[in-house]
Amino acid sequence: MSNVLEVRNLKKHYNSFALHDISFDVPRGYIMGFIGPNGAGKTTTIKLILSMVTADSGTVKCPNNERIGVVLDAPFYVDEWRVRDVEKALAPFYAQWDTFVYANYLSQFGLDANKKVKELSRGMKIKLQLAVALSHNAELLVLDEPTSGLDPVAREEICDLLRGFVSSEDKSVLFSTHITSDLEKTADFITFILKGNIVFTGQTDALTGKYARISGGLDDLTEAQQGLVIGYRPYCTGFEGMIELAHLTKMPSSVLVEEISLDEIIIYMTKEVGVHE
Amino acid sequence: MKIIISNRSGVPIYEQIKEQVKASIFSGELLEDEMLPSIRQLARSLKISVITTARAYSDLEQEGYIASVQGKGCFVLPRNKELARENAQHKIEEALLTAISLAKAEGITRTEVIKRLELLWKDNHEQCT
Amino acid sequence: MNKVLASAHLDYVTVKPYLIIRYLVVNTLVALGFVGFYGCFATAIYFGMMVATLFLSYPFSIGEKNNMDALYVTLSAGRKKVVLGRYLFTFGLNLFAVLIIVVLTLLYQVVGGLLGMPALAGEQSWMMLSLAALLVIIQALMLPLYFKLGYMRTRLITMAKVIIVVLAYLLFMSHIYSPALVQILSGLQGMIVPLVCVTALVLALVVLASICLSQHFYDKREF
Repeated sequence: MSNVLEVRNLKKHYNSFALHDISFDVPRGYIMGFIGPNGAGKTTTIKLILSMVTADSGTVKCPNNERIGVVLDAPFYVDEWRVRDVEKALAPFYAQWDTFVYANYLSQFGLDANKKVKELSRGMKIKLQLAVALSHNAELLVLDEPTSGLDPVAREEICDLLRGFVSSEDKSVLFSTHITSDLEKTADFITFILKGNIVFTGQTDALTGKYARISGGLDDLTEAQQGLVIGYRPYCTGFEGMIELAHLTKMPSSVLVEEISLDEIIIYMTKEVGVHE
Repeated sequence: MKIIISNRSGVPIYEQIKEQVKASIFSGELLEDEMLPSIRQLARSLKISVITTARAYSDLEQEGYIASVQGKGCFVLPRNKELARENAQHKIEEALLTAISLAKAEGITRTEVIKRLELLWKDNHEQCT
Repeated sequence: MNKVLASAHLDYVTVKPYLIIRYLVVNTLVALGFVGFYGCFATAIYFGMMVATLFLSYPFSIGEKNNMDALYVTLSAGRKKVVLGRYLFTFGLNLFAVLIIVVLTLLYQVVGGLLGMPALAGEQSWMMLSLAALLVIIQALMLPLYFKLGYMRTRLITMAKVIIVVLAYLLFMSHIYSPALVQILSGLQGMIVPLVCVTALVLALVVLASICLSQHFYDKREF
């Protein structure tokens, strides 16, 4: 499997925050979800990949900018531009710009070419960025929180578009989000970042298949057993948490073990790290 | 061919796909040499990841139901007669075991059961001809 | 399209919605008024460039307001070419402003001539041109500042810009009231060709240094 993006040992120090040692690959032809709570370092990592900020050390191997489509959380078009000005301004930068494709996306998204950027809703601004990103034959889409603040219909529409994008085998997507329901079924791979560290990177199934949700009564577990529960949360009538499947044999049969969602994995992991610091 | 995904069944998605493709092959809905939808096309239609779909297909390939031809797609393999026979025998055994345990529970004798079986066989045979 | 041209074009498209015709007309008329007042043709070039200098901050201020530095990075141009594009845009801006005012001045002269007004004088041209050269240097100083600090922080420094322009203006005034300066200048009249050559060379070097500095500064910016 060849990689379209290779991130190796990226480090970046700020006064109040640091990315410690970020490494992961986005394989060609797949969607990778980039997850983690707010402030974990998703946006900074993406900025490093796009060289909007300079890393202290480490390398990024990615296609030429001309072949990367970018959608950022903060929109970057001139407020006073009309939708059609966006094409006028940006098309000259791309040898493979396709006016026809762009016009097609505008009509698919219901974007009026005469509307001003400042008159568009957040969802529409994201779709405008997507239309640009998809109109110059990019081989990698990098999206930073494209679905945050959107309603379920718009989110589904964007996810569907991404699935369509990777349906030709040489295209890939890196998609950061904290709304994991968007990714649970769609993303082939997941990279999970927490407090500036990569906690997991690999196939989605490997992450959700590695852990289980565990709950039970307060006196079900010995202290040693409690130590194995990630994000252990006792409450007046019981406890809940997450456990690695490998440790399941060490648990008593009285506890309840269930499948776990990506959301819960993030919650318990975050809680665990919070406890340690 | 019908493939639908249940989000709440608890059965892994790749397993659901596998079972439904197999069912279509057994029912004769999918014929020998017929082409299956491409992995990426199916993933997109079902709104699931490519890897999940690929896993279902590669399992089906390993179990001898389909073959993938590089650059062309996946095809239904001719049904292996022996494999199908074995499969059927296995199912018959299971059904008979259920019958036996039922009979034993209610004190119905072996001869009675065999007699019933022969009677049923004959009836069914006559109906078919 | 060449990436530098594309960047300059992007600047133009960026600024375009903010160029309000009324404002432009007022600026042009004021400049034209000064040209008539001083009765000197080269004044047109000076005032054209002065207006251009005032508009120089537009791509920076609009860009900063709309998070466009992020956009530039995502484009395939590379930061160095974005900087080059901005200089090309600045050059175009100057050229455009000067052309408009020169054309208007010519019209003014023709119409004025018909009305029996005194024709514009030509002998003070060199003084005005040297002031125009001063404006080029001011621009060459401002651009790296914008690229290093961004618009908001540079805006404080632009107060300095205004002061420099006022100083340039005072210099201009003093020239009118100082026969000594006229004498020095007329003494230089004989060496016009080498003087122009040296000035052009110095300006070219200053602009080149300014470009290098801007590229260096902009490369280090983080967004």
